[in-house]
Amino acid sequence: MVDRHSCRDVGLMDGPFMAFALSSSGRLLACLSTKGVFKVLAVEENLQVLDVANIVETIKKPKQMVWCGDDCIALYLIAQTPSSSLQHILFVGGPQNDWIPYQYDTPLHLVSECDGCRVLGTNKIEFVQRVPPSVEQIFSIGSFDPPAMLCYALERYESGDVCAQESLRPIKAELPEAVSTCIDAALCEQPPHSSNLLRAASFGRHFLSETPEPDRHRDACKNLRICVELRKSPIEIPITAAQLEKLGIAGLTLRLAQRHFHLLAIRICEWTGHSQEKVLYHWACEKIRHSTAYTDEQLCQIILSKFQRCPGIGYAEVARVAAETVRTVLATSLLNHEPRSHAQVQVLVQLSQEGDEKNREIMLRIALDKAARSWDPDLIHLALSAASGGDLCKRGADIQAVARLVKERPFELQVISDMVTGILSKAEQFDRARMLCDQLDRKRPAAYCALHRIYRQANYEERMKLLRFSKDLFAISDATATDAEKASMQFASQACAEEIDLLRAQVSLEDQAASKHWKGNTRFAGLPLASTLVRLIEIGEVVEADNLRSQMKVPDKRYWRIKIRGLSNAANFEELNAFATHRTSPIGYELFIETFLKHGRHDFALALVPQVKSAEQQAQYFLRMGMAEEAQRARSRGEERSGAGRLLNMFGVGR
Amino acid sequence: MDSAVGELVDAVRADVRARLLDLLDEVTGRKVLLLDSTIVGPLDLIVSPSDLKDHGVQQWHKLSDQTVASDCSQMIFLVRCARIELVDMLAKQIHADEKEKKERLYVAVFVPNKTEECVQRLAASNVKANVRIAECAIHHFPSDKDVLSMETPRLYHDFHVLGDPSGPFYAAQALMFLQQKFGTIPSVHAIGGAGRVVVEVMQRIRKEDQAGQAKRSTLGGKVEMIQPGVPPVAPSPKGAAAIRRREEASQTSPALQASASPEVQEAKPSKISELVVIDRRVDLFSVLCSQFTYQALIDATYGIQNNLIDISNAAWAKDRGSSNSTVKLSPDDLFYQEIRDLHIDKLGPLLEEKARAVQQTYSEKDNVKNKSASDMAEYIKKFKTAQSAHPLLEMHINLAHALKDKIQTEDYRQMLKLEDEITAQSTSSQSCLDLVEDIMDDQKPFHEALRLLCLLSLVNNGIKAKQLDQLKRTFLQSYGFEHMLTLANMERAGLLRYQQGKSGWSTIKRQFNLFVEDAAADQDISYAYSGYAPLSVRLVQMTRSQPKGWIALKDALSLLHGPAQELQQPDSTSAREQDPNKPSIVLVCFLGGVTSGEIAALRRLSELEDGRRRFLIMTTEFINSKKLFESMRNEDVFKQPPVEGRARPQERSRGFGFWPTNR
Repeated sequence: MVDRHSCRDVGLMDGPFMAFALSSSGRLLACLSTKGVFKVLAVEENLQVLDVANIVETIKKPKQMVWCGDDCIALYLIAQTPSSSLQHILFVGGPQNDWIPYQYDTPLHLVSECDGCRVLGTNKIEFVQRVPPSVEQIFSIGSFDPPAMLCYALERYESGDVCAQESLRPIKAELPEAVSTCIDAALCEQPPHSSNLLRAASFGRHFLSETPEPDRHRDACKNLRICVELRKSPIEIPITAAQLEKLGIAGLTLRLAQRHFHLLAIRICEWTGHSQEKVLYHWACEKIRHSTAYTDEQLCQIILSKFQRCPGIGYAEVARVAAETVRTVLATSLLNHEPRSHAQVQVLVQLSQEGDEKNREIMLRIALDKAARSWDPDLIHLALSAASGGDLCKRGADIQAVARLVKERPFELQVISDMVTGILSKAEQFDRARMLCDQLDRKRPAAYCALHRIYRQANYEERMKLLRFSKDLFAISDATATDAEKASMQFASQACAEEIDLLRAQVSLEDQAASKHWKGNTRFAGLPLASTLVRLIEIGEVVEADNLRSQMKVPDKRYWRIKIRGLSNAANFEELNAFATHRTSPIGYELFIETFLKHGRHDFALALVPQVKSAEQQAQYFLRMGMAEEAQRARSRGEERSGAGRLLNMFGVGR
Repeated sequence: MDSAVGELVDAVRADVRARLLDLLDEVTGRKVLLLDSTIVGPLDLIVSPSDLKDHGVQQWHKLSDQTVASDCSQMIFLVRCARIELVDMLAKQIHADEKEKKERLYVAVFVPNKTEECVQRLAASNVKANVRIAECAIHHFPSDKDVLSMETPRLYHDFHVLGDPSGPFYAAQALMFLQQKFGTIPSVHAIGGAGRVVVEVMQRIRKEDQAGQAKRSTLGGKVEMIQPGVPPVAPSPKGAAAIRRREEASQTSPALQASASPEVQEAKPSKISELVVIDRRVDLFSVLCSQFTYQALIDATYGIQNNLIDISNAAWAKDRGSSNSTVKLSPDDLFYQEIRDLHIDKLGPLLEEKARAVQQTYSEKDNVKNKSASDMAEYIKKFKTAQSAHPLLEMHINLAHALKDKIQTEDYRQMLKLEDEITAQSTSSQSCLDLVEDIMDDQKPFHEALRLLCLLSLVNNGIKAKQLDQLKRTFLQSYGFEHMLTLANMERAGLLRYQQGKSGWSTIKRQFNLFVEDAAADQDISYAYSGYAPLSVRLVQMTRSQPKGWIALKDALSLLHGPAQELQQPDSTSAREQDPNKPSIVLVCFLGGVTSGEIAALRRLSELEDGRRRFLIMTTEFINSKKLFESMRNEDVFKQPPVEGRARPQERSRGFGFWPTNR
């Protein structure tokens, strides 16, 4: 036996076998050996042999061997008669049964069905079926089984016999089963028998206090009705109720649709409450393919009017068909009704890859629009890569095309341009990002894209070049910009100019350091101005610091703070003290004192404390130097603090 | 106390855990796990290391540029689909293995779902063929009993600066996930640009889902017959009822029926009754203002990461000589739960009391010596609990001391004073700006300077062009030209602006009652910020406190940034009366992060409303002002090599150290 995972020998005796047949339920396997040994195996139970029989008649290979339902086997043999004409023989039977021969003059084809076997001849179709037990119970001659009695009672009742009930009395206990058997039998029969049987079932139910399986009765009526209708001209599908059950309404309607009986299929769906989606979808595709007379708009109207009643139907798939038949307008207007954005965009992207340039643009534009509206980053990416013809960051990507598309509706597609800029920046392709922004007339982002490049350039000359470039970009005035934006651009331009000056100064400082052999850390290029000054003071080049300070116009207050930091870093406290006492400080003395205290120079700190304005602050300093008395005195000098505000109040005055 | 909310969080945790472990079980055998750096940390919140071991994971690492060597025959990558650049690292790992001729089974798991982009990127890296692609819907990491965090940082920056909608998009997906699990939330409030995106995406997904569901239900499910003409067959009472129902149904149109049917199937009572989506941009004040709960101060000082703090730099920790450099602030720890939301002022006395109790238990030792055995046993038990609580208590006392010391330094007080003046608008903006400038001149941490500058800009609806230029220049001079981008980002994100028009701050303050008088502040939600009631929490409060919800506040809301929306989602159970005694659960979703202070305030709000509403917090991350400004900085700009001076051969020969040593 071979299956998906392995193959193994099941050890069947009496081989070799010339024919196999699997029953329609898939449970039974029949096989016929060359020696005429016939076996039935149970598939589920590890191919256990259920039955063995010898068929002497079949010494040659049968043309066909199929199951009639799960009940018996039909063997089709071609025998040569003595008059050398071919004889077609059909044997129906099974192990432990007699084989019933049927003879035909024309060639046959057998089709196994779930409840029997269809015999296709040249002129007619026959259906061979084992008589179902339910039918046997009722119609076998002289049957006194409860179902038969039920039918008899109905017959008496209908013929006006007042004592009809008498026939029911003996089967009172079995009545529910009888009703159910009647339904079973009805399903296997044709009208008028089936309707008689259903009537009998219905009649029987009147005598029951509780209805067993009401749904079954209803479904039986429904299915039978469908079968009967289908048998009629012009459809003429001889389907039995059991086959219908197996096929399902969905399968049936799809078959009908394929035969172009769309209306009937829809009616059946409506009547049984099944989804019309597949039928409608099939109908729409056929409609589009075949109705060349309609315009796109008309077709769209027709399709929409039908689709409205079926929520969740795949507009996108129909649109794809429309596109295949080069009905672009129809495709796009159908897509507009598709609720699933993924399907929408995917189809649009697919469509954009077909057709001419104009079609391409239309599709891409809609795809981008839909993607932007869905906010789904994946969809946006999908649409973008379609628009640019591949990976955005690749060399060949067509950024221009994206720019063109976005430019038409800059406001709605803002998110698209932002995403592209973001993707390009992430891949460090700032120049392309800048060009995109440029094309979209977005001056400010363009300038910032240029700015990004500066930081990645470690070479001094190159960096200067880029700085100048950025400065010029920022200086371009944009008439449409708001005042705030203009101010911001102007500032950025100035900042670039200042950075140019600073970098030049820093590099010349480094040159000087090299030629004059300054000690300490003399790397300046790229540092912030404040740090440059601090470092100069740290290494003792105060004159240079003063020069740079006046060149860059550093305000007095800031320079004082810088100087304190520099001297403190260099641990040059004598100098710092001299600095503190040399001139009145524009920034107060707290910073000096803090610095001294941090480095444990209480001697210098103490002298400065009286200069501190706030008495409370003075007291704090005294306390930190361990001078409680002085602190107390200072505090008493100071007035009570007042109105400290929301956040300070919570600490309380006393601390 | 929040058992109802806790249940939801537990359900989410169980779900995510099951998903993750199922995924691991799909490939049998020993495996190595390579994780997205944003997942490694919070993974702890879902599964324990022993869980991973039980499911065959031999080792797990952060996915990085460094390749990992291992002899496991399987390798699983767990990567966020939004972080597309990680796919390259993944490919690098596979290529490295190939070079060493190692045969492995690779599974790339994308969180929360796989995207076309990821698959394309894999294909572009030439590894798609050897990788099995899977997805795992991990949306949330439950970081607390009432907090679900998505752990997707930088949403505020990405959305408001770069214009990238993926943050809100994935947040909307996460919200849909919660609604699938707990039922459609009937009432939705959203504010801000990102909030609008979330609502739009949510509505779209719902529409798509419904379309899909309609399809499924009509195909597979049993649908009532809707066409008249079926012969009545059943005389029994049950059958009669069925017919009547059918007749009712037949009067309505078929289309209506079909659209209604999925809802009937979905008839799950919604466990969450309200959703409030708040874009961080609407309420930046709450990030910029100082907070004073214990947890908020720990976060500001040490930075809480996945409920852990790193105290290796803290002086008091060194004194203790403890080997452990991290402390876990577990939400399961009852003691920490009790103190984390306390105002720092209230914390001291409580800790003291606890310490005294432990002390007393210790000292009772002498008294029990002569007592009976049972007393003794009881005492031993008491002693043991005291002893086990001791190290934890000691740690918290040390921590609290360190925090108290910090907030009492002069620098800190100066900052607070300035913050106070800015928010109260009590002094001229020029004098405030001068003080901010001083902070910059001292090269204090850049986020501190920016925090106050932005607060000033927000309160005054911008800063005058001349003043702002001056401040920006100072900033660049002190912190470097690299911050040009930081400033530009802040301007785009609305943190910093040139003044345009009058400030609406005083109206906002009044309308939302943001500043509460001292006496009431202790009990009000403003306690966490010492008098400032977080705007976001006020917004949540007002969905209920105002008779008509937000509609009544139209004017006030129009002063805030971004559109405010209110909508009702179709919910099958909305007609059903809610049990008035049962607290309703409100999901508050912060897009762009939530602060500790806001969490504390929301917890307090629930208490103030007598527990009628319980709050489940969903956030994209935990944020404080430092993190906010760090996200504004373009990190890669600071990692560039330094500028080389003019070509100087002798220097070249020395090599390119950033800071060459003395010459």
